[in-house]
Amino acid sequence: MMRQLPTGIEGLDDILCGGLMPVSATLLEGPPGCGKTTLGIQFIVNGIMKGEPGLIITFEQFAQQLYNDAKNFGWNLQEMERQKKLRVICTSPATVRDHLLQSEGIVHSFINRLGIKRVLVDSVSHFRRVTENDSELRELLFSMINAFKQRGITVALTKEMGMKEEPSFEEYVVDAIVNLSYEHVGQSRVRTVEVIKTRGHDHISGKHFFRFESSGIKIFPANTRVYVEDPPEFPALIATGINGLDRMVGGGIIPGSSILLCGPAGTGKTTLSLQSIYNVVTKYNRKAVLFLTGESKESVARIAGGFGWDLQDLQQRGLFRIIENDFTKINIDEYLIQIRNVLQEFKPAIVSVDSLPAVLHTIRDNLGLVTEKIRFLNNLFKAYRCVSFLIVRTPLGSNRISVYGEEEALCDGIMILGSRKVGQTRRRNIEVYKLRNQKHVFGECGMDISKNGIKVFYVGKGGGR
Amino acid sequence: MKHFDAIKYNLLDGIVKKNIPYGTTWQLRGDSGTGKSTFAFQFVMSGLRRGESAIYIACDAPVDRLRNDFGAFGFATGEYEEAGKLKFVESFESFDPGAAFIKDISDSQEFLFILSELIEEMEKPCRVVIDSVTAMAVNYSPQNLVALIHEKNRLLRRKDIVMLDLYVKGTLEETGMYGLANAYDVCIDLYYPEEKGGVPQRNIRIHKIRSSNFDPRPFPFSIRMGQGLVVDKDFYGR
Repeated sequence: MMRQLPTGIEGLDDILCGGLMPVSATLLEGPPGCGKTTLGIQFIVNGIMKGEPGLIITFEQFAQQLYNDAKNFGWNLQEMERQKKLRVICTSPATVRDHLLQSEGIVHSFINRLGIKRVLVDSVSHFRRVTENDSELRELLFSMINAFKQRGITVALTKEMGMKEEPSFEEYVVDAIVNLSYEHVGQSRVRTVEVIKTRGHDHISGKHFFRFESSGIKIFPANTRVYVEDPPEFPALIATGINGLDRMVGGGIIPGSSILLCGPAGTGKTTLSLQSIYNVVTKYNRKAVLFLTGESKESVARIAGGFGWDLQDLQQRGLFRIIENDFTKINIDEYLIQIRNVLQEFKPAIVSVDSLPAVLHTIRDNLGLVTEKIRFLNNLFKAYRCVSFLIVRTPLGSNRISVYGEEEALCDGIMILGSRKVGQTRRRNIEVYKLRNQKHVFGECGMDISKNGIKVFYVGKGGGR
Repeated sequence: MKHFDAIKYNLLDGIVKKNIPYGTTWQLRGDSGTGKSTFAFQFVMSGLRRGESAIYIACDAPVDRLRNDFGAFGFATGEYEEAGKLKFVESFESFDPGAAFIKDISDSQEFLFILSELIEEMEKPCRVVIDSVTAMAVNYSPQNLVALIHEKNRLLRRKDIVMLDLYVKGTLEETGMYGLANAYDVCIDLYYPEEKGGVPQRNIRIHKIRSSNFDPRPFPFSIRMGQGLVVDKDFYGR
């Protein structure tokens, strides 16, 4: 089996299941301004970094414009040309046709002299300037691609395409198609990439978000299967250190379980998660991460400080991290990949997501997407074997335990915090409503939030009353 | 055999044929003023003096007053408290830094939890006194209170503690149908017998000791400063 050629573009090789086939033709298509040319140049530059000289044939812009655009991403194309690793040709489609069809032409001489391995043609739409006849166009494109392939070259071609255009002959001639697009999510516009076809190897279908970063295009493939080569080793159960709660569930929570921690405002959800994090770090010397979206770092530090839990100290000891994001600006896939990267690098035993609806805010109108992303999030925590608290605030007086209804089924556990009026006083309670693969007390149990934190009033020996 | 297998309590020597082991639950009933708390102080002190520990749950009076009452019988508690051997528990939110507290005595779950946490952290063997269950009864239906007592004795019973519960006589008589006495291994009554002229004399009488022989007859006793209850064990020998 032929080894695929990694494009070196972050995230793209994941959805291409390894990269592109060597000596193949890939169409990068999409509407104007979606990033086709940038992706193409990145493909060439990454090749050059790996010692594969490249050729860029552009019909669209002057070389200087291309150099300037590339500089924005830190790619000095002129320097690469001086080092004879790259050649940029600004020309017309007719010239290319004439030269390519001659074996002694200028393109061939560059290929020979520089040992070109990757070519970008930007864009094939311009061939329509040579002829309007579809079969001639097809013949022209086919022979150009073949000319490159015969020289052992992998070629990328950009193609302008309206948002709702039907596929044309270009799609049939190439080996792979990468479609770039954008769409509106809430108030903002997000860029998406989708692999439509790959000959000879698998790819992960569906749209993936991407963004222009200072170093080029970065794709966030949050629909991929999560596979971790070296999952961290944890004990069979991770105790929260809240004695009554641990007894309710038979000693602790199985690593990798995601727990929906729900209840109305002021019932102690944030406190319970902070206390568990503090205990796991200080009592058991394990790592923890707090993903904040709804709450601010400062308010969480205040809450913790009120109980005498010094979060800053934990951070300084390198055992705790707070990742804070503005929920109105979250791009869900990018955020999920951020979580994945943190888990991969830090390997925490316990994490808290405060709160889950805030994470999903920008995709809240699309239930299908919400379900998919929660599932991916849970898969992440499972793969990295960390206990996760997903905090969900529910309206007071309702019987709801989640916002979308899907979370209940997707999570491994559900803990409900609440309170009840008894005479003149109000009593807090906690209920372990669901906990997969674990025997647990069913039904409400009293609890209190004292100056030392949460106490859960369960004195049984655990695992069922 | 571990040294705490038997509860040493001189007060009952002679009436009880063999020492009662730890891991038992005791019920002490009596009219007001018959000396229940004094019995309990003595019970706690005889343990503390042997190096054991004790938890005293004060439902009837603030802890400050209890300390004074202990002191009035010549039982100074300060050193034991400082050494962590004796823990007073208030039955409402307390500003006393030395005392633990149960915030809401009407919340049976909290009551059991606080008690179990304390038992967990005290050195063993440990004597646990509730003074009194009657004060708790205000907050519960008789049925719920009996259920709570049964649950407490079932959940918190362990081989290295003994629990002594005080009851004012008459409070829970109607609950006999729920078999409250069944929740206890030892049942003792303090009372004034019917007056037959002269100075009324307090009596102590053991009703039940699970798996031990005892003298079921009433014995007169007096309360003396510095000593507490002094039982006339030779009453029937004279």
